[in-house]
Amino acid sequence: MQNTETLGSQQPVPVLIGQAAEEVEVLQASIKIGTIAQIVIALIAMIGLLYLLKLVLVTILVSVLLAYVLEPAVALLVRWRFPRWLGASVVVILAVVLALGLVYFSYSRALDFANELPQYTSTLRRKVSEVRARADTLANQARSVVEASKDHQKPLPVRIDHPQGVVQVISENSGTILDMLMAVSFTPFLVYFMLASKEHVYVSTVRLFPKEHRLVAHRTVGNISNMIRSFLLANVAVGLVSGIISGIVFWRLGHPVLLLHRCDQRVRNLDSLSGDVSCPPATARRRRRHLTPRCDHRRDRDRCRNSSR
Amino acid sequence: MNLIYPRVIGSRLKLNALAVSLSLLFWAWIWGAPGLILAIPIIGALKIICDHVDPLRGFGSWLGE
Repeated sequence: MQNTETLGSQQPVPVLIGQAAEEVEVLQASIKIGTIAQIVIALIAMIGLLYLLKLVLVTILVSVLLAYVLEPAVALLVRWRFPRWLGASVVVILAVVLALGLVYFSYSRALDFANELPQYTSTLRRKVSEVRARADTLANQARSVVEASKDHQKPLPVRIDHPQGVVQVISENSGTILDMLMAVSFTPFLVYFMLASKEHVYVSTVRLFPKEHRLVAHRTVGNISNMIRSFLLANVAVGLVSGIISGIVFWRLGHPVLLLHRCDQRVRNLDSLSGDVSCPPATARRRRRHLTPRCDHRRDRDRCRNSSR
Repeated sequence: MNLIYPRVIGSRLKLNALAVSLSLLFWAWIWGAPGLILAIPIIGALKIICDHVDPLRGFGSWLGE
């Protein structure tokens, strides 16, 4: 009697196979979902790590790029019977001196530019305030049309942002500046060590892999080296082309800091159109004589004064 | 410049212009200005590694031209 109940509770074989197949499907689906979840978590963790290790990774990768830039000079010195460490140190010192010279030159140019800036900013600020006043008038008119009465309304709070001083900017960004200084001070030493021990680094990197994969690793590292050289050459080409184009544009326009001069000229032309200044804008014919726009404008103003007298 | 640079660099390094643009966007988001400088070498190195590893060859060919 007991045997019959047991036999009765047993399911037929095809049903059991179907249940097993369903369980396998569910298991496979859960494994697939788990794998996808693992990949997503790994990606998020990797992005987080990249963000956190920004300073270290950027310093190392920029040093690698600089080492590739300086490698031909070191190879040339090695060909002239210099020891590799000496060639690397000479090239790195020269590069540091060149970089410091460039920074000093850029700094002095920036100071000159900053000294000239107020005469343009005052004009621009005046025009911006005029436009803003007009926009406020328009907004008030529109508000008066839409709203019935403004008597019961509370005045809107206004926040005035004062311009930041240099000391405040430095104190607020002191962490970033310190990080940058640390990275910049590390970079020459990293570049030197990469250049001085190039062969050792290359061979030991390939030897990190098991013997059967060393050939592939050797090819991969070689291809990456070629790719970085191509990248640097392509960047030089793009930089040259953009430099030539901007040089031609500035030469045609006739002044090194012409953009601001142009802005100033446009603003004054706006003035002349709105009737504040009754001087005509500079003509294209005079621009072709390589006169700066400001000189043009003064000449026009003098002519206007003479004609009015 | 945003149009020309990925094309010139991409064709020089045998990289897809879309991959170059996406790489510039991603690394600029992560690292800011240094990311823009390092984006191309990183994506180029990634493509070369993918080309030499069998399971990742499809991704490498997508990154290529």
